[in-house]
Amino acid sequence: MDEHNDPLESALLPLRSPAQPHTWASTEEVKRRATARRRRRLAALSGGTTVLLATVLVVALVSAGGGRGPVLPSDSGAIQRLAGPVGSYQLVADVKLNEMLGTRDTQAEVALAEQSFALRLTQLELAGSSGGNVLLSPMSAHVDLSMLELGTAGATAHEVAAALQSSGLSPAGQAAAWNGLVQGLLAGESAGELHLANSIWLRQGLFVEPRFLRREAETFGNDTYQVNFDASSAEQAINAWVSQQTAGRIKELYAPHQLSTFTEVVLANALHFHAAWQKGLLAEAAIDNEPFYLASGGSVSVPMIVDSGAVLPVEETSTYDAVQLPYTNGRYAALLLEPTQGSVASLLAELTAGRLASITGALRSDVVNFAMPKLALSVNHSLEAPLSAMGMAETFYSADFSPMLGAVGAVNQAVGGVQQAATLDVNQWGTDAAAATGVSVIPTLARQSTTIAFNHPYVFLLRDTKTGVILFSSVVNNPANA
Amino acid sequence: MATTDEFGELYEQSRERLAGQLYALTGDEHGAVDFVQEAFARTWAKWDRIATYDDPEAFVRRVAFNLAKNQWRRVKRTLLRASPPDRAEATADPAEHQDLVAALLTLSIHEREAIVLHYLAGQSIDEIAKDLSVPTGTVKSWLARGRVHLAQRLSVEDPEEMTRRG
Repeated sequence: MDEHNDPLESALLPLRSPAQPHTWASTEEVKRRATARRRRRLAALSGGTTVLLATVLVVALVSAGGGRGPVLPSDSGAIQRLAGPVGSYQLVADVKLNEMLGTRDTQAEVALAEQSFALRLTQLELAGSSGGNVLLSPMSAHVDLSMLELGTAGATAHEVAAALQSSGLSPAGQAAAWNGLVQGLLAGESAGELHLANSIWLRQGLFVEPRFLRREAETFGNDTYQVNFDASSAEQAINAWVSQQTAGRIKELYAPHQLSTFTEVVLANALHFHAAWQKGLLAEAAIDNEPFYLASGGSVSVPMIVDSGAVLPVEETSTYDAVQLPYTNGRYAALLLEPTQGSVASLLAELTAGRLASITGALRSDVVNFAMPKLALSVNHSLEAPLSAMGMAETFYSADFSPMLGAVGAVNQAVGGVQQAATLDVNQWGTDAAAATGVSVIPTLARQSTTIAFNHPYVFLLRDTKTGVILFSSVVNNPANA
Repeated sequence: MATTDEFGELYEQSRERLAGQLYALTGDEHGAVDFVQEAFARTWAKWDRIATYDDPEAFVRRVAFNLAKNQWRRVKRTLLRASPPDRAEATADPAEHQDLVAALLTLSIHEREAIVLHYLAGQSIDEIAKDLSVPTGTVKSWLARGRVHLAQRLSVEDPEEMTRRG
């Protein structure tokens, strides 16, 4: 349609101008309003004098192959209370994992949603990075928020689903599909390369809907702990669990006293990927200091993995170079994309799940002189701003968690923050990457032969080549900045 | 680097535009102003980050639209009485506005949101799809249905029909 000749555009044109004068608060008043709300919220988080209900939720993904079965407090059956990390207690009941795996179709839908989520989140993080590096685990965040979604209702459920790019799926359907996807990722050819697990941390004495906890355990296989959020040992206990599940790669998800003493629940999610490159790949590579050309101009000298005459799946086009580096078992691979014209942001903006499929489908083995930086990146940051931009804005102010907390959870609750810590190490032998994501919920009563050298900014996506799930995404703008 | 002045400029330059879009979406002119102000307050709380986005106005619009769609009705009117108001110049006929908004309100919320984002906010189909987390085909469908209904209500020619005839 030629939009320049669209009569509707002309018909609606008057609505582009105000029909009558509006009364507006001044800019300063708008700012004061935001600041006053933030002060009230901080007062709630730091334990002000007002009587509050507080909930913090964290989610974590860790090894389903860890040996213990999922555990939860239950309204039926025997519950054992065992000693947990740093003064916490582990609650153990008999719950069966694996029975709800979702259909192949819903698993494919969730995998597709995760890729859209990953690319959008990475785009927004890059936009907010001021030229710095970006590092995320979209999968960890998606699983984390999917666990949260099980505890949401009404508009909150719609917002979380919109951010997760899965508006067509029910929370329960998505949870079951993730269970199926994770079971597949942890089994067979990928076993041993990926470790993921979830846990739920409850304030001692808190009422949580048994059905919510049972559904979480059945689909996300989490461990459940009781903890005293009045003591700083709560952060230590969660961090100890995260550290254990990431083989010590992430020692701190939460800083001391970061969680409110009013915290009621934390859902924690952790993920660790460790794999060597496919046999023979980069076996002859050397580490040389080479220039990496910054988008802002100039260059930095960084250690580069250089392999002359490597045989790799590559694609060279007029707009980008693509190289895929498979890991040992062949299921996972790192896909590197560097624009040959335009910026890395414009390249990323054009990526979709379908585009990624067509790029990887066009890769052909070729002999190339290959170079990419050794990487050692780490982050610990909030995802609130990009998730707000992706549709979850209201959830950070007012949310309905009644499926999780009963009637009390229907009002005066909100997500307080989404925190993610991640590390990415890439060298000539392979990759080690870890992530932990936390979603916190707070009360709102208190507020209301060619040469392909990746020596310019590029995109790094660590993907499951079978389902397309993006485990880690990174935009390397300056590898000298760890 | 983000500055607080940039926030003020965005607020002053885009608030009427956004209020017009909210009015077209909800049919509630006063509520539209409330939603826009509340959206700006929420944006200010994250301004360090939002200012670096390519289109901060799109962020404010999404927050305001979500507030409107969630029927968020607790905006403090006291804010409006706190200071002498800034007044925008009236540049259009109120009766014409009411007729157009009345026609828009006959559409479903999805059709209406797609029409408002496309024709008033100037968003492309791809941008709307990304904004609403739905496939582009869904947006095209909402726009097509919305165009047909709106063209009938406003007695203008359906642009797609016109195109088909060449």
